[in-house]
Amino acid sequence: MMEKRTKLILLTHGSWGEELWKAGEMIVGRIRFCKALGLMPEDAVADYRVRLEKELEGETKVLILADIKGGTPSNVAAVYAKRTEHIQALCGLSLEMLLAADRLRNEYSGRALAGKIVEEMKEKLTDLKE
Amino acid sequence: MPKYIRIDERLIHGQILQKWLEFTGCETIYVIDDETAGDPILQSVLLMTVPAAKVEFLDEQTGAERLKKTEKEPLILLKSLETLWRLYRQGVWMDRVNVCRLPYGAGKKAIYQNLYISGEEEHILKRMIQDGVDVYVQTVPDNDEVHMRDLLN
Repeated sequence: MMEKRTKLILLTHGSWGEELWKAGEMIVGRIRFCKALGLMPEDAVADYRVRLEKELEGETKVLILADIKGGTPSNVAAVYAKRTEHIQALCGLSLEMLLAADRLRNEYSGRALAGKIVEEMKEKLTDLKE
Repeated sequence: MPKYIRIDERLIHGQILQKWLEFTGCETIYVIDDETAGDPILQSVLLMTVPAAKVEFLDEQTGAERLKKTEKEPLILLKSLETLWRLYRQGVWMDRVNVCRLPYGAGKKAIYQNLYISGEEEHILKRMIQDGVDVYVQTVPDNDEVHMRDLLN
């Protein structure tokens, strides 16, 4: 029997993580073990961390996908990833990244999963006119 | 006298990187916050998108000393009004302060977009305004400045 899959947590400015998740499900069907946490303009960072910590509780394999590099969601993700071995985090969230993560977590976990996604994402950015 | 002081709980983030550094022309950022000054991981995260040469992390004590005699024009980032108030009480002079994000918390009232204040914070703001400090709200340079005194009535 397969070990439990890595949990995905989407950290975004505003609530577009929810929409992204739904959009992903339009393409591949149900995406389980996933959670979207939006940082709203009025939110305190401390409260946002508490919401994230609730999602991390008891989990042994987590991959956080945050939106822009250097933004607060990504900064929060980076702090947890640097402090905790079983938490991986990437920024640059997109539909492409979500689907890659959902697919690759069937086969990989931990550092290998993060590495595979980064590798794949580098090839996806394309100038379509060329 | 420090020219650009900003109260923003999120410290260095997109708005700073994408807008304020260019607008102010500041070459240095001072982050004055005891927690961050004592935590190398927090620092490394905040530095992921800014060249390290640009940023200094100072605790309040060091920050106050530095600001009293600073020649440079740093962009100064503080998390809270309490920190600002302590710097002010230690003799850091300031003409203007941009208070642009005070997050929601229990017992706080909304006075503007993303500005929630407690009774104590209201007191601090009123004292500084009374002293002649121009306390204003401006999230990004493209927005107009709003005067705090107009929000506190």
